Amino acid sequence: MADKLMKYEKNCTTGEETYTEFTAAEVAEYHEISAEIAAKKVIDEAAAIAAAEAKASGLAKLLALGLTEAEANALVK
Amino acid sequence: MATFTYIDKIELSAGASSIQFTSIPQTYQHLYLISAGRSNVGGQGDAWLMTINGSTSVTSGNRFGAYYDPASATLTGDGGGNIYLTSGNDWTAETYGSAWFLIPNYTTTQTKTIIGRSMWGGPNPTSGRGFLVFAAGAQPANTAAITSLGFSNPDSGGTQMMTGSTFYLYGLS
Repeated sequence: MADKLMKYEKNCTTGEETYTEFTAAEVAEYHEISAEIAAKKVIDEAAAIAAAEAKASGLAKLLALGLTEAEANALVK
Repeated sequence: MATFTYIDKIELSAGASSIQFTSIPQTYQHLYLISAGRSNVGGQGDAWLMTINGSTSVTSGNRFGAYYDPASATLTGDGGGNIYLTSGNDWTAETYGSAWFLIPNYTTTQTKTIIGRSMWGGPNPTSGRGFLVFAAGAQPANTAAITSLGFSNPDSGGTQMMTGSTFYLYGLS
């Protein structure tokens, strides 16, 4: 993250525009939230992979029972 | 007669990690926020979190924002609301994600519910995927009257809202 963290603010009453660097506290909060999001992405991606694997496994079992692929796909949608 | 009043506009002429409308007049019944955004994140999209009075917290303990995983084609939200706000670097430079938010009764000190929808369009030059539309809502944890409103961009993948990203704030009464 080489870029400086900049904030742009527009005062709706005075029309004043400011473009300034984050304060140290804002930088710390930014990275804290960033880390939370990154951690949640890992969890969500693992859940998505597990769901896809379960679907494939279920489909295979339905096919093994004698269902056609169309019938099996209709059930696991 | 109902009126739809332009309050202000932000158009980025340089990259930013946060934009805010501040000192919002308390003279309207509702607010309407529109964004046309683009991020420098590599890939298809980025999480921009709505900030309300400087906070991104919502009552569920999560935040109002989302990201899109191009590998699994799954939208995974950061909790309370799933709104995909922006196009990413995979898209051609003129492609921006679009989002609309209604903030009802923003001057009250009661719990507020914010409803939004977003859209970004394709086909994406990398994945070939097409248009996506999302809608979601969230309740901000801060119940004070809303005097500042905007977005921050704390996603680990992208650090900036890019030049040309544009935000409009309207008052409804």
